[in-house]
Amino acid sequence: MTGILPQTPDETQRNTTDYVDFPSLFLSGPASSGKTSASLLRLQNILENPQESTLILVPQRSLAEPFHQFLRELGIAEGDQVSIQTMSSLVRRMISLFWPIIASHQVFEHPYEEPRFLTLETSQYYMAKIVDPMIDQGRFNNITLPLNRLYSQIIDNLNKSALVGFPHTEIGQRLSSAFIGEAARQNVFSDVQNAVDQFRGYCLQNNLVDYSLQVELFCNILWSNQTFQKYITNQYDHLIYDNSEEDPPYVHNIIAQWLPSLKSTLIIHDDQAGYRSFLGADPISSLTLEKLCQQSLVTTRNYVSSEPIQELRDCLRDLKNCQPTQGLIDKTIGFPEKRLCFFPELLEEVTHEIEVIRALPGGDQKKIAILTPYISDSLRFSLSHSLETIGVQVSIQKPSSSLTQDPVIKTLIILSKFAHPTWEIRVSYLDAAVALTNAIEGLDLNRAHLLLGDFDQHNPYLTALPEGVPSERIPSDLIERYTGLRDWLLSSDPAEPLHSFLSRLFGEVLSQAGFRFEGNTQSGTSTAVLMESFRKFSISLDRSLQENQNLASQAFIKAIDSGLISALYLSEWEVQPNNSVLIAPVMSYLMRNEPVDYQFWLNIGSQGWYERLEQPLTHPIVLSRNWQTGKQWTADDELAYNQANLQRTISGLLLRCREKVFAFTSDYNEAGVEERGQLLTVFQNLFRKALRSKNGR
Amino acid sequence: MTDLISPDFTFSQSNLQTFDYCRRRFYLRYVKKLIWPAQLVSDQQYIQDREAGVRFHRLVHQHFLGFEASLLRKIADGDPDIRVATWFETFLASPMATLQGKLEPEALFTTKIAGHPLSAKVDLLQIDGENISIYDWKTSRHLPKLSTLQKQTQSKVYPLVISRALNLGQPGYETARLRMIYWEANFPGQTIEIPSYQNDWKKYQLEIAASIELILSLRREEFVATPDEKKCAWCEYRSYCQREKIAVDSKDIEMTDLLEGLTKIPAEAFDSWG
Ligand code: SF4
Repeated sequence: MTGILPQTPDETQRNTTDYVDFPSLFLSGPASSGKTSASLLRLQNILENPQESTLILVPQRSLAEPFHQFLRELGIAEGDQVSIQTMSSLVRRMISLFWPIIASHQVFEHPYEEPRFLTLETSQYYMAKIVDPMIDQGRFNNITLPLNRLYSQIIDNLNKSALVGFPHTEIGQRLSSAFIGEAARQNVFSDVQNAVDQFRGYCLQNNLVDYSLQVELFCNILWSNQTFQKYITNQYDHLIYDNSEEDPPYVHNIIAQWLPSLKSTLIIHDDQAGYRSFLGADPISSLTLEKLCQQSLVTTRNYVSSEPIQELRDCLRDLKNCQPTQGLIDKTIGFPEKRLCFFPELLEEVTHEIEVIRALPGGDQKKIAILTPYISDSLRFSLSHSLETIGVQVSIQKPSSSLTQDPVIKTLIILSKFAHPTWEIRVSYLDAAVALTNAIEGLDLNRAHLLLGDFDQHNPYLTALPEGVPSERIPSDLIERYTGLRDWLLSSDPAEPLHSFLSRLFGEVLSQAGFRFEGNTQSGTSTAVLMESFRKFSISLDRSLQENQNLASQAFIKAIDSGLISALYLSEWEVQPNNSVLIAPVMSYLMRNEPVDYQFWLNIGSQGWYERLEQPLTHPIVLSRNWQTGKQWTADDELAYNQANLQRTISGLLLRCREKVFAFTSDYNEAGVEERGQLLTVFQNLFRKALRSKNGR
Repeated sequence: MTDLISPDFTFSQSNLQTFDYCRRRFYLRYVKKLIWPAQLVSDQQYIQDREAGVRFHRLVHQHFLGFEASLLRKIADGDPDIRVATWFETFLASPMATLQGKLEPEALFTTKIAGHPLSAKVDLLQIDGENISIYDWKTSRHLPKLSTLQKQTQSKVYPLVISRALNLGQPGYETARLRMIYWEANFPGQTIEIPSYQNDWKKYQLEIAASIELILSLRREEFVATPDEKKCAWCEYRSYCQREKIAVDSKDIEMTDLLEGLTKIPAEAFDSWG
């Protein structure tokens, strides 16, 4: 018996474990009702037959953690009897392995050449090549958006068409027919369509396989191919598919067709979830799998929340007809002791509350999550700083972080520019001085400025590092290090691939004695991140650019500078220390599926708790399977969407909370703005009702 | 026994070979998981060779998946490195292309040794009646010596894992034999074969179990740096260990598969789509 399994499984769990009597089972129920635990017991039974293999399918890697932990406890290596995958990773691998099948369909202009896979970032790079000239011609002129968001929304449309399963040629029409607003804005949807068509054409001409093409090729060509079918049915005997509601319809279609050839299948569907709808998750489509399974079971128990928290959740689901007592509120919701006017006071109050919890008997063992719709850098910094001052370790989950926010990466980029004067990329004096201080041990900003020499107010930029200006204010060893670095940069070969250049810069100079990366493990990771990001970018380039590494490196650095290649999705592989307070955006937290004892909900006045991101060029609902084509998206639809979203979020959070929620807000938010969103109203209504029942009214 | 190595740590020929190479390197790569991005070699040739080798392996894998040779030839001809098409043609013309029996390409097998998983990912496993062979496709520039291959951890780990996965160590299999076959695309006529039998697997098991137990018993400071400083020239940690500054040329390489097991940034860190 391993530590992660339920000690005394209930009846539904017992039935779920029985893969012989329940070979094709659809298990649904709310979060924390023991579904995943039951699936582990089932897996344990399946593993008793070492000849049979199991595929664990999850929509996102973070949801696979219980399975990894289980295998770790059993001492089983992943990949032999059990394989844990997301459908995207399976699709990507299969396209690569079965490329000859795709080649024989002659979809691409050079079918027999290797496919070049695009990431979201490299897709943006190619989309920019198409959209920028369109903008120059006056297209997209009614839209004010940062360019990288414009590109990413167009790409999002293309992905949605593949995930939902409608032709990409219908995107513009679908968006336009749902749009209510000025006629002039309608034109932008034909611009979107035009960009999408050109992008697809460009990909087919150049063997570029973006995410949407991966899905289409997999569904339309590979899946029905006999060689492929023979392979995939030989690969896996059993399937455990967790959180099916978080996957898009194409995955459900594939599973529906796969079901008859599997020895056993367990599909687990979380009720009231579907948090990844912005990525195409479709719980309604997931429910269609229930009919295709031979058996279906429903779980209702909650193994996590205390009874009062469960009562609170029931009440908030139907606030109109609920009569909350003051006792219930006191047991389940914590408030600041005083009214908080400004955001820093709120952070102080959070820190204070956490200190109080930690001081309780067993308090240092309690799991705590601080949740907010978005995490800004200043929030991250201030909160972690104030928690660390009271001795609390913090772990932060961010959906993505910008490469250029990392000082090591920023330094490497600037030094790369100085090593390639032919790029003629200008670096500001200040940035150059900061990079030098980040690189050279013992150098401060003042001396770095001295080394860089006179500052020209009319042209405060550099394209090359000047010879170090000797000064009695700079110790000779610092001048030596500067000169050594400069000489090394100047002697580098511009034709050397950037990742190799970076690796040498790191190994031969910056990690040596006298430089700041020496023995600094984080600097190693950051350098590796930049190298890998370049490698991914470089393999998506056409052969002529790949052969001219100087141009490839220049294109990469320019793409970073313009924000096209910016994100690094660290959260899925960053290890979180166990005993720390987690700070996370609400959606990322829900997708971790990891209950805690206490939750702090910050900024409950924010509309970010339920509103979609402003996305004028795409629409997750209109492009979903559940939208009637041609129907207009009205303000009422938006309102209903927001309310459903808020309900789902509140419910999902409470299902993952054991003891208490701390609902915190300040009169003015981080940006100094007053916010009065719906979540705040929900709490106010709840308190009013409780007060009325206390006063006997 | 220290608790540096978690109970689920999977041993493989690659990490055991790293331990043999340098204990400190094993510690930095697999225990500390230190990403240290210094170049292994000074030139791009090594990387190009390796990438071409990976694409050749994929073609052979596709061949065993049942694709038409004519289709795969077109893919090989489209490869940017002309050596890939040559290697593949050599392969198709060799007896390797028409092996009989049950063929399992790119298969992963795991067993437990000293309480830990030990895994082997083989290029091809052939079970043809009594004859069981493990094939390893290679694209080396120089033909390795039989004695070098015999000493390599791979030549012990693979037969050990496969013999256990197929229960060949059981009574009744006393005469069972496993062949480890190294086939070099650049030297197709000079296949190297290392047969092994029950006695050998027992020996391998003792040897590998002893290595694993030794690794498990070491404290952090006992993962010492190799005394043979020449080895540091091909190690990504050389600047971390303050051993060498500059990478050497790949033609001086003594050891193959240097990149195997290298600590890397996971691919999913670069994409947001699931
Ligand atoms: S540099 Fe040398 S001592 Fe250090 S880990 Fe590598 S091989 Fe071992």
